[in-house]
Amino acid sequence: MAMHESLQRRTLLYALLARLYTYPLDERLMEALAALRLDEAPAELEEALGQMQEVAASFTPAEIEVLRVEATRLFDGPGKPMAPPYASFYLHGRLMGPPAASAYRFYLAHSALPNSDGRVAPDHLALELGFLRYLAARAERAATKGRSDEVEESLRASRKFVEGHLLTWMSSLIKSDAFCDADFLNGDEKFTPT
Amino acid sequence: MNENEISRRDFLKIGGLTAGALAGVASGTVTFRTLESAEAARLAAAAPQVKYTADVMCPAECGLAVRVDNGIASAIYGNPYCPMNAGAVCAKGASGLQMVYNPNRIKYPMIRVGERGEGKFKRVSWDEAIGYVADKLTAIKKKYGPESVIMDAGDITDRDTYWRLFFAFGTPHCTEHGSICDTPRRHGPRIMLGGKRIEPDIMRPLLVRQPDGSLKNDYTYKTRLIIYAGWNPFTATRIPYESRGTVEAKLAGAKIIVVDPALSNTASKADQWIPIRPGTDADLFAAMLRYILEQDNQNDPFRRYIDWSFEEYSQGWDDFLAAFKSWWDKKDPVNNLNYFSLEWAAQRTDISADKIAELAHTFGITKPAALIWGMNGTGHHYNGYLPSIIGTALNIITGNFDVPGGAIDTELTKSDKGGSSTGKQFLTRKVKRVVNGKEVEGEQDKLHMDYFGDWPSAWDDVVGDYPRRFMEGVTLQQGPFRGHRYPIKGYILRTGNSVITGSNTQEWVKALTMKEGNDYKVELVVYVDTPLLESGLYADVILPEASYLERMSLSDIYPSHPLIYLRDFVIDKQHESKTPYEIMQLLAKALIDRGDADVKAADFTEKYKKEEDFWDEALAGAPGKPNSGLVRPYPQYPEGYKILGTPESLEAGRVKVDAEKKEIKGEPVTVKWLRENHGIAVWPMSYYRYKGGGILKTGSKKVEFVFKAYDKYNKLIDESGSVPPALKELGWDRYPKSFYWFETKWNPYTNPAYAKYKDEFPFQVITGRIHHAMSGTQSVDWLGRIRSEDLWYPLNDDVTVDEVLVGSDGPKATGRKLRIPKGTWSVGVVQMNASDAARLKLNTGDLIELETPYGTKTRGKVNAVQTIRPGTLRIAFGGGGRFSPGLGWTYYFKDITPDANMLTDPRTLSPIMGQPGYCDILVKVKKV
Repeated sequence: MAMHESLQRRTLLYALLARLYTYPLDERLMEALAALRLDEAPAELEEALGQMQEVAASFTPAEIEVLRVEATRLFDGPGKPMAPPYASFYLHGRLMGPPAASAYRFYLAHSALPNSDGRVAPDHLALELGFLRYLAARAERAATKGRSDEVEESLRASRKFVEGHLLTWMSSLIKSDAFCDADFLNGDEKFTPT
Repeated sequence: MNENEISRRDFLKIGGLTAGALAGVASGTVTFRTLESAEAARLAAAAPQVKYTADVMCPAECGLAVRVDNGIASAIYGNPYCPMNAGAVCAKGASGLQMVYNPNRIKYPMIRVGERGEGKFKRVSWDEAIGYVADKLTAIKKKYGPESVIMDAGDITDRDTYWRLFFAFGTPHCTEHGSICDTPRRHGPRIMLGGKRIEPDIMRPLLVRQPDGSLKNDYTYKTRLIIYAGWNPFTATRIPYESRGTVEAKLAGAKIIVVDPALSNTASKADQWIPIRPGTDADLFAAMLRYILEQDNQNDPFRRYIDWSFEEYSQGWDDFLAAFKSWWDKKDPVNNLNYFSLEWAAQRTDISADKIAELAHTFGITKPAALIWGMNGTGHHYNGYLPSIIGTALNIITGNFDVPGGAIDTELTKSDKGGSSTGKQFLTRKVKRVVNGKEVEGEQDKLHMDYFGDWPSAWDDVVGDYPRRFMEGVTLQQGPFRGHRYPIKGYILRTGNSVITGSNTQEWVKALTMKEGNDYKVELVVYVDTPLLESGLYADVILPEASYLERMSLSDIYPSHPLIYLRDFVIDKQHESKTPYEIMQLLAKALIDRGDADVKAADFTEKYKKEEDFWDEALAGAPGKPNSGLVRPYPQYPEGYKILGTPESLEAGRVKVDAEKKEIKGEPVTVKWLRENHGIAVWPMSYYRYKGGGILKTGSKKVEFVFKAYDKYNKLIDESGSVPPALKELGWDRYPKSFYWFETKWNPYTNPAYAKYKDEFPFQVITGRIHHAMSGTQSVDWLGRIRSEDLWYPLNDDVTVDEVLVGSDGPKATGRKLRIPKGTWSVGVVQMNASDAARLKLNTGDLIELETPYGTKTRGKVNAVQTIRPGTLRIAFGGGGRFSPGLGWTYYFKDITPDANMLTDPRTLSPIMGQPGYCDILVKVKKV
């Protein structure tokens, strides 16, 4: 597989992951998930994906509604959400703490700014995954133009961000989410970090 | 990069994903844009900004200066240009970031999917949420009329947008928390001055006009004596300058006396603490007034209590005096003593006759002085009007009203705001209703369920009576629509928590969950707020309102002279919250789209193009006060003319003087002007502002000892022949012409009807404010770690609890364990005198149950202390039994913390304005 093609797939995968944490879950997302195939993937990844695809393959509008209610309970509240999707919550105790500032600075250091009008915290999971998508897309464009230095820079940034930000709190989020009722969302939480 | 370096981890072999398939999926996710390197560097290096705004962590609404780093609010300080708090900020203000960035805050619109109270919601779009509300409102209006909808704007003053919309919609019921706050406390100033709240002259600095015409900030304290009766400014921080001002005044030589059943924080700073029996403040004040009247001797400098110059600017004193004196020869059936005598008051208040005489004498000869009465202490009793009326009279006749160092009615001195933006003009629209088969026409406001129902004189509505009205419906008793019946079908609650604080908790729950067939009797409940409080659990729709750092409005809380300051956008709106202005516009448009004939685009979407337009309109009337007093604020302009415009334009003479309108109009105060001036406009102070009518808002423009304010209610009764039930209960057929007297309820020491409960129910329960008194702030961890007086105390056990949250199927363990070490978390407790505890063999930390004669109960832990008089229990108002998971750790102690409003008698609504008798409670105690 050519590098730019791999990078394109990577971009798409991050887009899908970001979408999984962006409300509302809908039919198009389910269709995309059902179509996803991973070759030579680790067993746990296959299992997590399978858990989601089982639901995604035969969803009904009523089931999507149930998923939305469950996603609301997990990520949004009202009141204390069961698995707040913010790094600051797990590392700092409230939102918009140092992890949010750190993520924001990381974005700026790589000349990227989220188009969210400041409404979404910089350390929201969907935003962090969206940033990885942005980096992958940048690498993909660079690869198409044969700019290997830029590809390398974007991929290094991506790895640094995953290790320095995302993985510092994902395990806490998964632990919070272990009590989730829906197999789909449980699979989602295992799939993303893997 | 060498392709060999790309590991399997970097490149999963992915199939099935195509750009086409994902194009739609990716929509809705947040994208990133690439910045020019210079722009990225500029943003990364951007210096912190300071933005000025107004707090709402509590209703003191202090001026704030907020540090903002890269769009994130990072620290909160006081605005040094705002004289209300003069740069200071208390624990609540400083911890505001924990509210704004609280993971529990409401982030998205939601619609209920379970039963009311279960807490089952699904996230929806704003379009869906607003559409749902608009559909319901439209249907309710069509079937029952717009008067079937109540818009309750809770306890935050920036309610104008919501009121405008709902007044336009056609309901007369746009209310706020006033009637469950301290209406009896405000009553005396209201009927005698046209004001509301009397406070001591201790706001500093004061911008004072000097004899040479210049202005200076005056920091001197002239007060010689302040008596706080049931008022605790050190904890109940409604008036932010009173805590530091009291200390400064004392350092400057003033004497501070606190009359309170509990040794409050204020009492602990005072020269003298007088632990009065609950519910007898009126008795004390009446005895003080009688003493001053009997002992006054104008020829004796040590007995010259009365400053008779008050007769120049008042009317009706002789009538008031006669009515007051008419009681002197009557015997009180409780003790067979003459009313208002020292001995009579001593027997009722449990303060010695000598002490009462000394207090009256001290107040009479010390000038300037201020007698201040409080909310919980005096206003929360059935007869709380009496100390308010007598207290006002005492301040007036001793010559302390609006003098340097004396007592100031802050309602009369604060800046005007709102004007036409509040939508009150819609209330005068003519509407028609068919009453008893006949078409009747009248103004929209004549449909008001209280003012033309059972509570004509309740000028701040009767929120405490809502549960009954929700269940029973409304039948108008007065005015053109007399006999008109309608149900209450829609309840829009914004920044309030009526289930916990709007009188009796059970009654509210019952009213909001009562069904008619398969449907709820109240068909629409909407909750609009930033935190999720208990009332939100009973809502059909939850709308996330932008927090106070994300929205715009105005603040003008209780200053000694006119000032107004801006609540401004400090940070971007978080999550999907919207400002009150945006919610107004969205809902207005949705109603217009549905063909609502009363809500017009010309009044909303076409009128205001941006948020600043709305608030500029609200500022148009500022400051709106007369150029009155000594020295006049603007000596260069005619006396008594209304002042309008920015301080600088008035100062520089850039004004138009309109002799016909008696108006001095400078350049208008605008949002832009405020932003350029540290967020605040301050106009000069003056005293003796009652001269020539001045700031007084009574019909006669004089202090009224005859209560002409009641005339219009008596006229309604005359026309209808229908006497309000609460008056009948007192044996009255009309509102009194002048001084009146009646006893409180549930007080066996002053009301013979309740003497029989004294032995079985030996404790009087009162409430007090704590740092966490505002529901929203209970979710703030930092404040949970601060003890407050002896009411909010770290009596938690060492517990490891299963974290429980209300989820899609009710309360459920999250799987997380939560350890809360012993003595680290403050909870609401029952403050009890140590001698009572010893007698009942109770120790601090024991769980007890309080039960009323009518069978309601609550539980809490005993805090056995010396800081409250025996026979009295004190509970934090709103500090216990909190069952919303939006409240953080407070929620985990809901079963061991007392909810005072589980005890409040739902039938005890004070007779003039319907205030619940929050402090008229008797209980017995048993160990659990």
